[in-house]
Amino acid sequence: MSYYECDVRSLPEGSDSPSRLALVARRLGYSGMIICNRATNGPLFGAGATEKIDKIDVARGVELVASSPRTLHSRTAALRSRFDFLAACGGPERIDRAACEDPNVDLLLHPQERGKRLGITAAKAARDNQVTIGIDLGPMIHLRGSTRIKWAETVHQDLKLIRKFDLGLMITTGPKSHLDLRAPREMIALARMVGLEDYEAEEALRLPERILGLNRRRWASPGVEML
Amino acid sequence: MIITPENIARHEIIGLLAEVVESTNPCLVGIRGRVTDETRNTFLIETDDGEKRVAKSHVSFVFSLPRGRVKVAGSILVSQPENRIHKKARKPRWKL
Repeated sequence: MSYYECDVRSLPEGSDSPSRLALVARRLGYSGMIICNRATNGPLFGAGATEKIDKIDVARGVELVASSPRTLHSRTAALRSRFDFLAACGGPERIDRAACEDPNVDLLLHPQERGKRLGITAAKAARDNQVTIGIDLGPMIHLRGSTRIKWAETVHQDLKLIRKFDLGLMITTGPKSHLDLRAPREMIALARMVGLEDYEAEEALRLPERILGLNRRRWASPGVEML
Repeated sequence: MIITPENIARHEIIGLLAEVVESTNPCLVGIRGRVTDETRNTFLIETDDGEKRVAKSHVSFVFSLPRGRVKVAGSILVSQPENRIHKKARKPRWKL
Protein backbone atom coordinates (compact mmCIF):
# COMPACT_ATOMS: atom_id res chain seq x y z
CA MET A 1 0.00 0.00 0.00
CA SER A 2 1.50 3.34 -0.99
CA TYR A 3 0.01 6.07 1.14
CA TYR A 4 0.86 9.75 0.84
CA GLU A 5 0.39 12.68 3.21
CA CYS A 6 -0.57 15.50 0.88
CA ASP A 7 -0.23 18.72 2.91
CA VAL A 8 2.87 18.82 5.11
CA ARG A 9 4.47 22.09 6.24
CA SER A 10 8.20 22.20 6.79
CA LEU A 11 10.60 24.91 7.91
CA PRO A 12 10.16 27.89 8.02
CA GLU A 13 6.35 27.55 8.09
CA GLY A 14 6.41 24.35 10.10
CA SER A 15 8.72 23.49 12.95
CA ASP A 16 10.65 20.58 11.41
CA SER A 17 12.95 20.08 8.46
CA PRO A 18 11.77 18.02 5.48
CA SER A 19 14.23 15.24 6.32
CA ARG A 20 12.92 14.92 9.90
CA LEU A 21 9.35 14.80 8.60
CA ALA A 22 10.34 12.25 5.96
CA LEU A 23 11.97 9.95 8.53
CA VAL A 24 8.93 10.03 10.79
CA ALA A 25 6.51 9.60 7.87
CA ARG A 26 8.45 6.56 6.69
CA ARG A 27 8.36 5.05 10.16
CA LEU A 28 4.59 5.60 10.32
CA GLY A 29 4.08 3.74 7.05
CA TYR A 30 3.85 6.42 4.39
CA SER A 31 5.62 5.92 1.10
CA GLY A 32 5.61 9.60 0.29
CA MET A 33 4.64 13.08 1.32
CA ILE A 34 4.08 16.39 -0.38
CA ILE A 35 5.50 19.48 1.27
CA CYS A 36 3.05 22.30 0.61
CA ASN A 37 4.54 25.47 2.03
CA ARG A 38 2.99 28.77 1.06
CA ALA A 39 6.28 30.45 0.15
CA THR A 40 7.12 29.97 -3.50
CA ASN A 41 10.48 31.69 -3.73
CA GLY A 42 13.82 30.01 -3.32
CA PRO A 43 14.76 26.41 -2.61
CA LEU A 44 13.15 24.41 0.15
CA PHE A 45 15.09 24.68 3.42
CA GLY A 46 17.07 21.46 3.92
CA ALA A 47 15.70 19.73 0.83
CA GLY A 48 19.05 18.15 -0.03
CA ALA A 49 18.99 15.86 3.00
CA THR A 50 15.67 14.26 1.97
CA GLU A 51 17.26 12.82 -1.17
CA LYS A 52 19.46 10.63 1.04
CA ILE A 53 16.46 9.06 2.75
CA ASP A 54 15.36 6.01 0.83
CA LYS A 55 11.95 4.32 0.61
CA ILE A 56 10.10 7.62 0.82
CA ASP A 57 9.25 10.10 -1.90
CA VAL A 58 9.32 13.74 -0.86
CA ALA A 59 7.62 15.96 -3.42
CA ARG A 60 7.49 19.72 -3.37
CA GLY A 61 4.19 21.41 -3.88
CA VAL A 62 2.83 24.76 -2.98
CA GLU A 63 -0.31 25.94 -1.25
CA LEU A 64 -1.73 29.06 -2.87
CA VAL A 65 -3.62 31.62 -0.88
CA ALA A 66 -5.29 34.18 -3.12
CA SER A 67 -7.45 37.15 -2.30
CA SER A 68 -9.27 37.16 -5.62
CA PRO A 69 -10.02 34.66 -8.41
CA ARG A 70 -7.91 36.67 -10.83
CA THR A 71 -4.84 36.45 -8.57
CA LEU A 72 -5.40 32.72 -8.15
CA HIS A 73 -5.55 32.06 -11.91
CA SER A 74 -2.44 34.12 -12.61
CA ARG A 75 -0.46 32.48 -9.80
CA THR A 76 -1.42 28.92 -10.81
CA ALA A 77 -0.46 29.62 -14.43
CA ALA A 78 2.91 31.02 -13.32
CA LEU A 79 3.71 28.26 -10.82
CA ARG A 80 2.39 25.20 -12.67
CA SER A 81 5.65 24.37 -14.40
CA ARG A 82 7.76 24.94 -11.25
CA PHE A 83 5.97 22.62 -8.83
CA ASP A 84 4.78 19.02 -9.01
CA PHE A 85 1.68 19.74 -6.99
CA LEU A 86 -0.51 22.83 -6.65
CA ALA A 87 -2.98 23.13 -3.81
CA ALA A 88 -5.34 26.06 -3.49
CA CYS A 89 -6.47 27.19 -0.09
CA GLY A 90 -10.23 27.63 -0.14
CA GLY A 91 -12.27 30.03 1.92
CA PRO A 92 -14.77 32.42 0.36
CA GLU A 93 -17.11 30.82 -2.14
CA ARG A 94 -15.67 32.75 -5.09
CA ILE A 95 -12.16 31.47 -4.33
CA ASP A 96 -13.41 27.87 -4.00
CA ARG A 97 -15.19 28.20 -7.30
CA ALA A 98 -12.22 29.83 -9.04
CA ALA A 99 -9.95 27.01 -7.82
CA CYS A 100 -12.40 24.38 -9.09
CA GLU A 101 -12.61 26.10 -12.46
CA ASP A 102 -8.84 26.18 -12.90
CA PRO A 103 -7.46 22.94 -14.40
CA ASN A 104 -3.98 23.88 -13.21
CA VAL A 105 -5.08 23.30 -9.61
CA ASP A 106 -4.61 19.78 -8.27
CA LEU A 107 -6.21 20.13 -4.87
CA LEU A 108 -8.70 22.46 -3.21
CA LEU A 109 -7.97 22.46 0.51
CA HIS A 110 -10.07 23.41 3.50
CA PRO A 111 -13.37 24.25 1.85
CA GLN A 112 -15.07 23.46 5.18
CA GLU A 113 -13.45 26.32 7.03
CA ARG A 114 -15.80 28.64 8.91
CA GLY A 115 -18.76 26.38 8.19
CA LYS A 116 -18.60 27.08 4.45
CA ARG A 117 -19.85 24.22 2.34
CA LEU A 118 -18.75 23.35 -1.14
CA GLY A 119 -21.28 24.69 -3.65
CA ILE A 120 -22.90 22.60 -6.36
CA THR A 121 -21.46 24.86 -9.08
CA ALA A 122 -17.97 24.46 -7.63
CA ALA A 123 -18.44 20.68 -7.40
CA LYS A 124 -19.50 20.47 -11.04
CA ALA A 125 -16.52 22.60 -12.06
CA ALA A 126 -14.21 20.37 -9.99
CA ARG A 127 -15.55 17.32 -11.82
CA ASP A 128 -15.03 18.93 -15.23
CA ASN A 129 -11.53 20.18 -14.42
CA GLN A 130 -10.48 17.12 -12.37
CA VAL A 131 -9.71 19.16 -9.27
CA THR A 132 -9.43 17.04 -6.14
CA ILE A 133 -11.13 18.11 -2.92
CA GLY A 134 -9.06 17.91 0.24
CA ILE A 135 -10.53 17.33 3.65
CA ASP A 136 -8.44 18.55 6.54
CA LEU A 137 -9.07 16.21 9.48
CA GLY A 138 -7.13 18.49 11.85
CA PRO A 139 -10.31 20.07 13.30
CA MET A 140 -11.46 16.60 14.34
CA ILE A 141 -8.41 16.47 16.64
CA HIS A 142 -8.19 20.11 17.71
CA LEU A 143 -11.80 21.25 18.05
CA ARG A 144 -14.15 20.37 20.88
CA GLY A 145 -17.87 20.56 21.54
CA SER A 146 -20.35 22.33 19.30
CA THR A 147 -17.71 23.77 16.95
CA ARG A 148 -16.53 20.23 16.15
CA ILE A 149 -20.11 19.10 15.58
CA LYS A 150 -20.70 22.00 13.17
CA TRP A 151 -17.46 21.20 11.36
CA ALA A 152 -18.38 17.50 11.09
CA GLU A 153 -21.81 18.44 9.73
CA THR A 154 -20.19 20.61 7.04
CA VAL A 155 -17.81 17.80 6.09
CA HIS A 156 -20.76 15.40 5.94
CA GLN A 157 -22.58 17.70 3.50
CA ASP A 158 -19.44 18.07 1.38
CA LEU A 159 -19.00 14.30 1.28
CA LYS A 160 -22.51 13.99 -0.14
CA LEU A 161 -21.51 16.29 -3.01
CA ILE A 162 -18.18 14.52 -3.49
CA ARG A 163 -19.96 11.18 -3.83
CA LYS A 164 -22.70 12.59 -6.03
CA PHE A 165 -20.26 14.09 -8.56
CA ASP A 166 -17.65 11.36 -8.13
CA LEU A 167 -14.90 13.85 -7.23
CA GLY A 168 -11.37 12.92 -6.24
CA LEU A 169 -10.77 13.11 -2.50
CA MET A 170 -7.65 13.50 -0.38
CA ILE A 171 -7.39 13.52 3.38
CA THR A 172 -4.77 15.19 5.50
CA THR A 173 -4.28 16.50 9.00
CA GLY A 174 -2.16 19.44 7.82
CA PRO A 175 0.88 18.52 9.94
CA LYS A 176 3.25 21.35 10.81
CA SER A 177 5.68 19.20 12.81
CA HIS A 178 6.63 15.54 13.01
CA LEU A 179 4.44 15.26 16.12
CA ASP A 180 1.36 16.18 14.05
CA LEU A 181 1.89 13.35 11.59
CA ARG A 182 -0.68 10.54 11.94
CA ALA A 183 -0.20 7.02 10.67
CA PRO A 184 -2.36 5.92 7.73
CA ARG A 185 -4.31 3.62 10.03
CA GLU A 186 -5.16 6.57 12.31
CA MET A 187 -6.12 8.69 9.30
CA ILE A 188 -8.51 5.99 8.13
CA ALA A 189 -10.01 5.80 11.63
CA LEU A 190 -10.44 9.61 11.74
CA ALA A 191 -11.99 9.56 8.27
CA ARG A 192 -14.41 6.87 9.41
CA MET A 193 -15.60 9.21 12.17
CA VAL A 194 -16.59 11.90 9.66
CA GLY A 195 -18.48 9.41 7.53
CA LEU A 196 -15.98 8.04 5.04
CA GLU A 197 -15.91 4.33 4.28
CA ASP A 198 -12.61 2.53 4.81
CA TYR A 199 -12.04 1.94 1.11
CA GLU A 200 -12.75 5.62 0.38
CA ALA A 201 -10.22 6.71 2.99
CA GLU A 202 -7.59 4.31 1.61
CA GLU A 203 -8.22 5.60 -1.90
CA ALA A 204 -7.94 9.19 -0.60
CA LEU A 205 -4.49 8.40 0.82
CA ARG A 206 -3.34 6.77 -2.42
CA LEU A 207 -4.61 9.47 -4.79
CA PRO A 208 -1.70 11.96 -4.31
CA GLU A 209 0.76 9.41 -5.68
CA ARG A 210 -1.29 8.94 -8.84
CA ILE A 211 -1.61 12.70 -9.41
CA LEU A 212 2.10 13.26 -8.76
CA GLY A 213 2.93 10.53 -11.26
CA LEU A 214 0.82 12.22 -13.92
CA ASN A 215 2.19 15.68 -13.15
CA ARG A 216 5.79 14.51 -13.40
CA ARG A 217 5.35 13.22 -16.94
CA ARG A 218 6.01 15.55 -19.89
CA TRP A 219 2.75 16.54 -21.54
CA ALA A 220 2.79 18.38 -24.87
CA SER A 221 -0.96 18.84 -24.96
CA PRO A 222 -3.93 17.05 -23.35
CA GLY A 223 -3.54 13.31 -23.91
CA VAL A 224 -0.19 13.70 -25.73
CA GLU A 225 2.87 12.64 -23.78
CA MET A 226 6.44 13.19 -24.89
CA LEU A 227 8.58 10.05 -24.66
CA MET B 1 2.21 22.77 -41.34
CA ILE B 2 4.84 20.49 -39.76
CA ILE B 3 3.42 17.90 -37.41
CA THR B 4 4.51 18.47 -33.79
CA PRO B 5 3.46 16.98 -30.42
CA GLU B 6 1.44 20.14 -29.78
CA ASN B 7 -0.67 19.90 -32.94
CA ILE B 8 -0.87 16.13 -33.49
CA ALA B 9 -4.44 16.00 -32.16
CA ARG B 10 -5.51 18.29 -35.02
CA HIS B 11 -3.17 17.04 -37.73
CA GLU B 12 -3.29 14.42 -40.48
CA ILE B 13 -2.32 11.03 -39.05
CA ILE B 14 -2.24 8.95 -42.24
CA GLY B 15 1.33 8.12 -43.16
CA LEU B 16 2.75 8.14 -39.64
CA LEU B 17 4.43 5.14 -38.04
CA ALA B 18 2.24 3.97 -35.17
CA GLU B 19 2.42 1.36 -32.44
CA VAL B 20 -0.32 0.24 -30.07
CA VAL B 21 1.16 0.34 -26.55
CA GLU B 22 -1.92 0.16 -24.32
CA SER B 23 -5.34 -1.26 -24.95
CA THR B 24 -8.24 -2.75 -23.07
CA ASN B 25 -7.91 -5.60 -25.58
CA PRO B 26 -4.48 -7.15 -24.93
CA CYS B 27 -4.43 -8.76 -28.39
CA LEU B 28 -4.01 -5.31 -29.94
CA VAL B 29 -0.92 -4.38 -27.93
CA GLY B 30 2.18 -4.56 -30.11
CA ILE B 31 0.54 -3.86 -33.48
CA ARG B 32 3.02 -1.73 -35.33
CA GLY B 33 3.15 -0.20 -38.79
CA ARG B 34 2.19 2.71 -40.99
CA VAL B 35 -1.26 4.26 -40.77
CA THR B 36 -2.83 3.87 -44.21
CA ASP B 37 -6.43 4.90 -43.60
CA GLU B 38 -8.60 6.44 -40.93
CA THR B 39 -12.29 6.54 -40.13
CA ARG B 40 -14.05 8.33 -37.29
CA ASN B 41 -13.42 5.54 -34.80
CA THR B 42 -10.61 3.43 -36.29
CA PHE B 43 -7.17 3.45 -37.84
CA LEU B 44 -6.08 1.04 -40.56
CA ILE B 45 -2.47 0.07 -39.84
CA GLU B 46 -0.28 -1.71 -42.37
CA THR B 47 1.78 -4.27 -40.44
CA ASP B 48 4.10 -7.06 -41.55
CA ASP B 49 1.18 -9.48 -41.15
CA GLY B 50 -1.21 -7.46 -43.26
CA GLU B 51 -3.58 -4.59 -42.59
CA LYS B 52 -5.17 -4.36 -39.15
CA ARG B 53 -8.05 -2.14 -38.17
CA VAL B 54 -7.65 -0.75 -34.65
CA ALA B 55 -10.26 1.17 -32.67
CA LYS B 56 -9.14 4.60 -31.43
CA SER B 57 -10.93 4.75 -28.11
CA HIS B 58 -9.55 2.72 -25.17
CA VAL B 59 -6.18 2.47 -26.96
CA SER B 60 -2.92 4.41 -26.57
CA PHE B 61 -0.68 4.85 -29.59
CA VAL B 62 2.97 5.81 -29.92
CA PHE B 63 3.59 7.88 -33.05
CA SER B 64 7.00 8.65 -34.50
CA LEU B 65 7.25 12.33 -35.36
CA PRO B 66 10.17 14.35 -36.75
CA ARG B 67 10.71 15.81 -33.25
CA GLY B 68 10.61 12.46 -31.47
CA ARG B 69 8.11 9.91 -30.26
CA VAL B 70 4.85 10.78 -28.55
CA LYS B 71 2.29 8.67 -26.75
CA VAL B 72 -1.24 9.69 -27.61
CA ALA B 73 -4.48 8.66 -25.91
CA GLY B 74 -6.65 7.42 -28.76
CA SER B 75 -9.74 9.02 -27.24
CA ILE B 76 -8.53 12.49 -28.27
CA LEU B 77 -8.28 11.35 -31.91
CA VAL B 78 -11.88 10.12 -32.11
CA SER B 79 -13.24 12.33 -34.86
CA GLN B 80 -13.43 12.37 -38.62
CA PRO B 81 -10.03 13.53 -39.88
CA GLU B 82 -11.51 16.41 -41.87
CA ASN B 83 -13.30 17.69 -38.76
CA ARG B 84 -10.43 17.24 -36.34
CA ILE B 85 -8.76 20.49 -37.37
CA HIS B 86 -11.61 22.41 -35.74
CA LYS B 87 -11.05 20.72 -32.38
CA LYS B 88 -9.88 22.95 -29.55
CA ALA B 89 -7.62 21.81 -26.74
CA ARG B 90 -9.72 22.44 -23.64
CA LYS B 91 -7.55 21.51 -20.72
CA PRO B 92 -3.81 21.79 -20.13
CA ARG B 93 -1.54 18.94 -19.01
CA TRP B 94 -2.85 15.44 -18.57
CA LYS B 95 -6.45 16.42 -17.89
CA LEU B 96 -8.75 15.02 -20.55
